[in-house]
Order: sequence, then C-alpha cells, then structure tokens
Amino acid sequence: MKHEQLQRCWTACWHRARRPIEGVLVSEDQATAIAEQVIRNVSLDYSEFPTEAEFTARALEEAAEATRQMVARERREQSNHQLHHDPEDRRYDQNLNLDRLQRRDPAKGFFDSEWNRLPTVLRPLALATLTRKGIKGPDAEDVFNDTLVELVREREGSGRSPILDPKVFEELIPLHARIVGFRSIDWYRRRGALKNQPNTGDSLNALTDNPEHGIQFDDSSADPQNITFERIYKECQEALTPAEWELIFTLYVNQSATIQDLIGDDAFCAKFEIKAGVSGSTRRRVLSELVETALEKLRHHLIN
Amino acid sequence: MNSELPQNLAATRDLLAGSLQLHATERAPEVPAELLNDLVRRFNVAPAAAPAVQSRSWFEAVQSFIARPAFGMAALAIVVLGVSVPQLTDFNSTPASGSFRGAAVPAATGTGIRIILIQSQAGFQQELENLGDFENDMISSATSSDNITGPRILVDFVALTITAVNASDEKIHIAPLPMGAEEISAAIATAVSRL
Repeated sequence: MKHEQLQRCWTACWHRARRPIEGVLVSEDQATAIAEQVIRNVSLDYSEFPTEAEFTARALEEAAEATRQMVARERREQSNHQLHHDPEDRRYDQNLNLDRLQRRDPAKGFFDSEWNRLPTVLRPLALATLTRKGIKGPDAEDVFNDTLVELVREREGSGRSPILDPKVFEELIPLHARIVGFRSIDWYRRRGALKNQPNTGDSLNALTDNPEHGIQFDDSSADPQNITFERIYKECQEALTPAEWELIFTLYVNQSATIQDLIGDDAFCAKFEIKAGVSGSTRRRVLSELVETALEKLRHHLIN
Repeated sequence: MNSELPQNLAATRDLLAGSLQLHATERAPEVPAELLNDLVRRFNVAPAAAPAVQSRSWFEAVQSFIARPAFGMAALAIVVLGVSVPQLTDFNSTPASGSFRGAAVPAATGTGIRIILIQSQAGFQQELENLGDFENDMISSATSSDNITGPRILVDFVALTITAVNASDEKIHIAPLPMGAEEISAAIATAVSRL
C-alpha cells in the first residue's frame, strides 16, 4: 500500500460524503468528519490492506450511507426537510417530509396528506421523461398514475414497498425515475402486443427504433451512466479477480496510470505472471487482452 | 485510457470512468495527519523509497569513469581546446556583461535550525544534500527524536511526518511526509519557514 492510494481513497470518500446523492450537499467540515470516521471504520475490517478497488468501494458505500443517515437525522431533529439540500439542484421546488410519506397505517395504508403534494414534485420529471420516450397526453398520465401505485405496492419477495427504501427525500427522485422507465417499457409492450390488431397504430419496433424516441431520462441520477463505483463493485465483485479489479480500477476508475505506465511497472506486471524480461510489446499485448477480458466480464455482468 | 478498445467495450469503460463522481470544481482537503498516521501504523505504509545509492570505493569510481567511451573523446577535446583557445583568444577583452542568465542562488542557511532525518533510508541524506536546498551541516540523521533540542525540523520516516519544533520544544507545524526527495525538500523548506 502506498501513500498515493490513501490520498486517492480519501479524496473519493470525501467527495462522496459531501454529495452522497444528487441534490444532497453537506458542509466541507461535515464531509471531512464523515470521511475520516468511515475510513477508520473500514480499515478496522482488514488486517492487511486489500486491493485499492475494494477498500475504496467499501469506503464510498459507507460514506454515502453515513451522510444519508446524518442528513435524515438532522432534518428530523430540526423539522427542516430542506436542510442539506443542494441549492444548485433545480429539478423541483422543495423536499417533502419523507417520514410522513413513509408513514403506514395497517388498515389505511399510506394515508398521509403529504402524498397529495407528491404528484406536484414527480409529475414534471416523469412527463418530461415519458414525452422523450414518445408517450404523451392521456397515455403519459396513465403511466404516471401507475408509477405512483408502484411506489406503495409491496414487492413480492420482501413484502416491502419501494417508498420505504429512501432515507432522504432526494433518493425518491431516481427511484421514481427507474419505475417510470420500467412502466414505459411495459406500456410499449402492451402497445406492441396490439400491433397485429387492425387500426392500432405503430408497431413496437417502429416506435423504439425511432431515433427521436431515444431512451433517456431527464433525471441524470437515474441515468445508467451515473452508476457509482461502489454499486458496480458490489454487483460485480465476484466477476473479476482482485488483480483484474486492480487493473481496471487503476486504468479506468482512478485513472492513476496509463497502460504505458503499467507496461513499465515490473511489480504490477508480475501480478499477471508477466516476467521481468518480457518485451514491452508483449507486455502491452498481454495487458490489453487482460483489460478486454475484464471489461467484457463486467459488461456481461452489468447487462444481466 | 486505452483508446484501442473494441467498440462494444467503450460504454463499459466510460461507465467506470465516471463512477467515482468526483466534483470537478471542488478540491478535497489533505488527509488528516492523525488519520494518516493511524493508517500507516495499521497497514505499514511505506513512503516512496529513495533510490538505493550503491557505495563503492573511489578507485572503482575512477576506474568506471575512465572506462566510459566518452572519456577518451572528452580528453581529446580538452587537449585540442587547451592548445588552440589561448592562441585564438584576445586576453585583453573584457567578458560581455549578461553572459550568465540569472544569479547564483545561495543555499538556504538555517540560522541554527537543524534538519533531523529520523530512520531515513540509506543514502537519503546524501540525496537531500545533493539537491543543495540546505546547507549540508544543517542536515543530520538520527534513530529517534529523543534528546534533540533547539529549533529543528524532524523528518520522521517512521511516523511519515515532517514536524517543525521551535526552541521551546513546541510543535508549531506538522505535515505528512511526501514522496520523493524533491518533494520532501520542499516540505522541509515550508516547515523551516514556520520557525
């Protein structure tokens, strides 16, 4: 383990503590305190330093979680649901009271009047997304209403409603955006199933192949490109060996070295059984093949 | 990043590249020194190793120098110049002013400040002296900081810190030990400036 690794891990952890999710922003001092505590906690789990990828992923995950918990607690204590909300976040006007949204009565279900305010927040984002996907007017309203029902519908396995997942209100935005995405796909499937019936409009392929109906979200936090490293690592940890993770992490996540740097690093090459006397071109070929293999595994794992 | 990847892997690469989500306009502070020290103790972090200086006798050094192919050429050139230059040079002319760019920069003098290298790697003191940032007699090595008095900079390769201590034994500056002799020299200069 080297000094630079500690510094890089610290930097990533501090940034995650400061902005654990889009729309939440805590002070620099709070981020520093959280990042320090988190790194101490994570380090206690290891007697030897693991790969930088693993240590960073663990630290990032715990930093985001610790900040979310702190923000939720302080909002509750101060009855200020706008506390720690990023002033630059213009997606909607104000946070709602998440505790009230999550309040559930065994007989009445999610009955709190705060739910009356929720469509005002979510509708503009959802309709913008649905419009981009080619779902407009009454169809879009139907899909949007379905998504609200989906928020409280108990999942088959856990019996838990999705609305209970977020710790802070800002998490509800990407959660709902994902539901909108799934519901829009369902809508196209239903629409496609009707294509063989007369006078029912465009086919599924005609709609989805249209470049003007590109699949994208207005809420950037629901964008697949916005997936955090800790989530990728958690979902794909078993897909790569520790050495492959180190290779991918160094080259693409941290970008702390180029492939040319790694070619010249005997100690690094030795991890892949590349002997010291091997020529640079051979090293490049071997490392490039390893990179492609590792990326292909990740791609396969992420798609499935 | 590797730009020669197949097209179908570019999206995965891009996904990874943005996955740390660092905020471009913000700069994280330095790692707190106390945390750094604790992690160093826990994981036994090694500072950047100074290149090992192989010790050899003066005879071997001279032998090695003479054995270089360039030595013969250089010796020949010196002989030729030694003979021809006095004949071509007008000794009465004064040298043009401004022949040298810049002025000689004197090495820093410590005004009694000592730089103590605690358990540094072999050859590091020499490397630091060769940089010429400090007077050589300011720099010394020790195995611990005990029994050292006076204004001093403790460059601790065990705790990986640089500490400035004044004549009253008060620690008035502490910073993590960077890697590389030049960076360490710069950090020592910063510490000296605090005394």
